[in-house]
Amino acid sequence: MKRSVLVIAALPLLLLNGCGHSRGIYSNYRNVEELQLVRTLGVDASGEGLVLSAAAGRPQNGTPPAIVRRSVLSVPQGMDALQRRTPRGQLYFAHTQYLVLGQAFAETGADGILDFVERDIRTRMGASLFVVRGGTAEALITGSGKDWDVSDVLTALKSETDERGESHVFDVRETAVALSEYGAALVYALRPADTEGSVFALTPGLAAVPDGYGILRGGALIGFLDGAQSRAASLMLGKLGTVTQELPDGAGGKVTAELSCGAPEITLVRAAGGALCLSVRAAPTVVIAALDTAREDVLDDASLEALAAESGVRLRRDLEAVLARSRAENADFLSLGRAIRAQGIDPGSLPSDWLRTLKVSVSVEPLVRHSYDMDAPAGTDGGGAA
Amino acid sequence: MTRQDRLSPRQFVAAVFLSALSLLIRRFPRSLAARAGRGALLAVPLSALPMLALIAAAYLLFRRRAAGSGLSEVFTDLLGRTPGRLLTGLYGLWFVLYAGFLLRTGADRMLTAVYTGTQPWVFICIMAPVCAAAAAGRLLPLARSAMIFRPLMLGLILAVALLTAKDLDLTLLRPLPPVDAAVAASALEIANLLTIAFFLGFGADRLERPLRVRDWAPWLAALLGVIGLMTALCLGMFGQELTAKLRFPYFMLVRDLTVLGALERVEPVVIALWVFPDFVLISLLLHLAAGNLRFSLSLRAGRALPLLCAAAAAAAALALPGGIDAQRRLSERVVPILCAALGFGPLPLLLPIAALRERTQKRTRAHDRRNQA
Repeated sequence: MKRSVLVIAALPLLLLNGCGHSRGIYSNYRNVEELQLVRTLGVDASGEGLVLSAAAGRPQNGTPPAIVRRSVLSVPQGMDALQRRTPRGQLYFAHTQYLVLGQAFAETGADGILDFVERDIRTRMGASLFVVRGGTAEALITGSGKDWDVSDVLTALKSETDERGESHVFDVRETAVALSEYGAALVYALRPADTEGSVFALTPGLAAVPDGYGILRGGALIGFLDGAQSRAASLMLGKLGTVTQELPDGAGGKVTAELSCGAPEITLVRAAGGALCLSVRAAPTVVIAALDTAREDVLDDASLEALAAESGVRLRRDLEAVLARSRAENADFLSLGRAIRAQGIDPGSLPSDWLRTLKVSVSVEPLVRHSYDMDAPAGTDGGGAA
Repeated sequence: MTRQDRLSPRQFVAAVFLSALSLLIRRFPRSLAARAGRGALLAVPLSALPMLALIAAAYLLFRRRAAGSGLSEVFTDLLGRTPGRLLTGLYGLWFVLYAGFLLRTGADRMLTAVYTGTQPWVFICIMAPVCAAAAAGRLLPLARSAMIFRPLMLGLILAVALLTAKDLDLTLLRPLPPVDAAVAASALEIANLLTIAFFLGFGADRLERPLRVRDWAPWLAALLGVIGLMTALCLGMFGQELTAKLRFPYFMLVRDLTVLGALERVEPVVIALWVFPDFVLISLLLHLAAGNLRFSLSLRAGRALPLLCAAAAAAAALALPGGIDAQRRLSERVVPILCAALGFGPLPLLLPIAALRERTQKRTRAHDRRNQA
């Protein structure tokens, strides 16, 4: 009896029929050498459907990466269609690192692709999300040089952004959570840039440069944040690293400062009459990095105070501008709801137009240092004698 | 039951704990988030109240019973021989269907989360014979395997928690809503997990000694801790709306896990490890189903009945509808309601009878003593 039970129990092992393609559980077995690991997936609008483009990683043997594109009606259909068009190997989407959306596609609504990535097991929510400002993902993916591809460009861009900290590359999960919890989100915007004449050792092609943030409201792209506003948005989200700021010295010269700031303190208070008032308080550190001035007293206490005041005024103006934009668009892309929640208040319990009617008060209290302050104690920003 | 097939209370509790792990991954924390949002975090400790009530009821039922009494004996003792046997047989049939449902949902989990290119019958046809072989044997090896799998599963859950902790946004857990009807309903949904302990009560005749509080209390706390941890991780990672939207939010959370910056896409391993609790639970149900039917129909002991039960469960699994909507209806409405009805339902009938019986026995004993005096 025991033997017969063992035989019965062992029979299903016949279903584990090795590495071949079959209807068994090894139906999704893939030979690693034959895989084309997709690193970048692009989505663009096209008539009633969309264009899906994919760039695989560069194979070890130095051959150019597989780049495929296809016009389709839906993303799942598109991924299957790309599979059939691949020049070699099998496309494997499980390690997709970058998801690039064309501006026109994002304007019609990116929530569909986000929803797909959330649910589909082939992709992952940790993929970084980009929107191509004034262009298409397809052009970016197919337009790279022969020696490099779009994934190299995006890797470099992300790495530089992480280090410089002027803006932030959000991933699909962060974007999806911001959209579902606060109704709006920011997405890293980039602009195609031709490298002709600026890249010498490599073949020219289409690269990308950072270009602020795209604003998603309810899943659709409604606009962009530029320059100072995108910096201020990064600061509001606690994502700003060290950035440079040029300040006038008051005598025609300029002082270059490095500005760094942690997440600002955001508090919601109810003013008299029940109006909601949001208080934003930032305390950036401004380090004097370079001087281009004829003034000799520029590092005096009084001058430093004036520089600090000027830095604070500029930063406050930028913060007020980005907050005004958020209220004007009625899009909480700065995740103010998050700060409100941190105070134990559910944004859902506030009136539906709370963002539009919000009174905002911004205060910036910069602290100025200069990098050769010999009087400062060792170990501080001023350096000093050990 | 053989003389060697005796379970220690620790082994019995391990089997219940692992069975509950198998059940909770099917719906939690998605259904909790869908119903109560962030209030799911409140529902977890709140569920201890109905759970303790169920445990107290089980204590009352088994109080002053000789060792070797399972639920079958309780039924026949309290309800009479024929109704007791009929009810035991009904539970046997339910266990077969329940095992079939678990086989199917386990297969669908594999299809949804890992092996998209295949069919559910592959997994059903592999799992059913393996569980049949285990169910045809004694209960003790199953309980021992539960003892082995329990630290493995707890280690896995803790490792996932540690690796995801850095990405959590704790503000997504705040503010906690007041305890309302949705939170209370979620608490009952969690407590419904413990009906599996009631079902496994049919195997309580194999217990070496009655359970004491110190046997089960730490593991009840651990179970609630696991549910609370999974809920907090998913809510802190995805927020309440996204958690409610994803089919298996816990596995989606594992999908984006990177181990030491080197290992990615480890979710197939985590999902595959959940086969162990499934194996223990399905095997236990088939074993108990065979025991119940044998008791009910006065059949001789043998291995044919567990194999037949397994075949019937596999057939039920293959016959279940495959559409997402139908499965969701089964998973979220039909099966939980049946579990609650069969797990909590007999108690209002059994407890008064047990109380009356006890009172009558007391009076009889007192009367006997007076007569003797």
